[in-house]
Amino acid sequence: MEPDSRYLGLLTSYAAGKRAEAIAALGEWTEDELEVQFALLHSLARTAQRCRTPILVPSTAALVEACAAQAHIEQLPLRAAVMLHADREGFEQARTTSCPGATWQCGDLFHGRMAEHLTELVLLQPNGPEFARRFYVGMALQAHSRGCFLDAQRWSLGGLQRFPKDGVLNLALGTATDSVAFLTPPPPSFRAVPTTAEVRQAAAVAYQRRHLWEEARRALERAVAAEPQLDEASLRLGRVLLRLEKNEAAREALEAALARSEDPQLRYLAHLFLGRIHEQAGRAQEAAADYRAALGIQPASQVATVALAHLRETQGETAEARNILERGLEQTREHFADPYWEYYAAIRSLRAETLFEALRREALQ
Amino acid sequence: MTRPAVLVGALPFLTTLAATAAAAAVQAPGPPVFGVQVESVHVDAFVTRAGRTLRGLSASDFELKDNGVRQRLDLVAAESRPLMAMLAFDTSLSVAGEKLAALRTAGEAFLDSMRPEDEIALLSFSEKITWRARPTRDRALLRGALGQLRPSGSTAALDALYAGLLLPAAQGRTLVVLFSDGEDNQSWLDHRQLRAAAERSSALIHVVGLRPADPPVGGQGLRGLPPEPEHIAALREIAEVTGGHYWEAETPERLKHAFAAIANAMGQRYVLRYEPQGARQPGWHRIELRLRGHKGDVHARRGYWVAMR
Repeated sequence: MEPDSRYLGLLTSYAAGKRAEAIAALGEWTEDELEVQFALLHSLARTAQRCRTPILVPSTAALVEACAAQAHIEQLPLRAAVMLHADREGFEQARTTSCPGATWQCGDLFHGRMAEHLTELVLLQPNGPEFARRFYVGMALQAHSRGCFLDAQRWSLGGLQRFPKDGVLNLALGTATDSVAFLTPPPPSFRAVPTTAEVRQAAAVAYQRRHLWEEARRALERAVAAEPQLDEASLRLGRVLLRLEKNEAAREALEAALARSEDPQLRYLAHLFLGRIHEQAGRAQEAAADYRAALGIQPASQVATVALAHLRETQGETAEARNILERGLEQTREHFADPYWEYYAAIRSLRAETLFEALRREALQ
Repeated sequence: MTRPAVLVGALPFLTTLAATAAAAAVQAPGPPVFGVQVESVHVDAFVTRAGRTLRGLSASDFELKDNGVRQRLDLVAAESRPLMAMLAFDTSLSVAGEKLAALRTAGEAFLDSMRPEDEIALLSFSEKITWRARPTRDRALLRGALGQLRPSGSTAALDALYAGLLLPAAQGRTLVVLFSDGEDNQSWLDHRQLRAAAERSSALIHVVGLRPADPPVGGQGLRGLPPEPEHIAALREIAEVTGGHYWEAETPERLKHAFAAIANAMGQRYVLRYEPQGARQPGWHRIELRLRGHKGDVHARRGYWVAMR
């Protein structure tokens, strides 16, 4: 059986560039109806798969049917289907949010799952795997930039099941996991003798945070190994290693990022983190040099200003420290966004929207 | 030659002295070099009994040990020392609405409770720290600055507190009052660095937090005090190391009471002065202060740094 012509019409409409209309019209379909459409498409794909292994097909008639299905599926606007459901997911996430101040509703919605299932069918098309890989990257980046870090983890892991050695997906996973660890509150402080249960709970929380950072470290190490030119992976690996108090390994990762990257914001962050490593090791001169280098790149950075002022104050240079801070506050502009403040908000070097725009263009027929 | 007097919680040069010791510890492999003569030390003390301020005490009612050595104390009139109050107010997005309105009201009441000769400054912070009013006695200007506060962004409370400690270059007493309603998620400095900075500084820190009361049952330690979030415990510790206090307002309306309590405590503090006997060496000086012949709780700075190149 073929999918409903009305559903295929929606896909064709999206593929023809009528994006808004198709997204709106998709809202008229129930989840049950759409699941039937997917089942029909999936059945067609299974039939088509047999065309690739003719030796296993019992009869000529069955082989003809399979290859007809294969030809048919290659013609279907499946990429448009993936992007249509992905866009509808985005629309519903924005629409269904109920938290004050929040822009997006996090969590697993129906159309995201549909889009993911449809990528299985796209894999059967020419260049399908690359489209599917970038789809997972895009979904992970989009979830991350919306502050939905658990969703970002899930999309990265979904992609890594199919593309386990992909550097970008590992970067996305490591970054999302680092963010989850950062947002996990540390164990509480006890003002009285804690109960055994409280002690156990606190130990569990501490373990959980460390475990998350270890997972982030492993993902980022895989990213660096897979794509050594992925400078942001080196930067984030350095930051996570610093969290894990593996300062010399962190220094190595950050210096590697600094040696390769020309990106000023990445270089700024690398100098900032290196400054902390030197400061913790008691190498005050090197720390000051790194903080000054960070300020050289971002003269209006309040974070680098605070870091340098604090360092100089601990060195006994209180008046100088005060001047540095005074000047720093004067330079702070109303709309200046310090990359340090944005660190957990998004993966800097990859933009979900840019990636999605490219995927949408590919979905056009 | 005039010999320096160390006023715990007061003179700006104490910060310099203190910082030198810390720097020596960080930078040099050998022992730090000091060369300071501490002439006199001033300690602010707040005394309470059953939650009420205990008044009418004299110097002989206190016993103070500096690095374990008992000292002879004088009581100095608190009014004789000019005060510089640095207000550092959280204006992150979570403060929007009634919290900010209540904060403005509490801030204005605080201005009213200070003496005319006291200077006051205002910093606001989200992730960004902004001077709203530099130290001034002009109350109208300060009221205007309070009225200009607008919510935005996230929270860098520790960085802002550090700015509050470092920026005042006042000659008198420095009081830092930090208000924050939430978890710090953007500071560069961590609470250990802030605690050390508070110890090096001469300022007195009070922190006002805004959060709902702890649940009445469950999750309580064996002595009945529930555990508290790490960021609040950190702010409490930083305040207490300077002799200050962490004040918790459970609702925006209670903010005014917290600020009034701080103003009240400042007005009813005892300022003790002593010339260190047998304890003049540079480095960290541990202060132990207790009452003699009276029952009550004494809140005072736990020590001070002495250092000089």
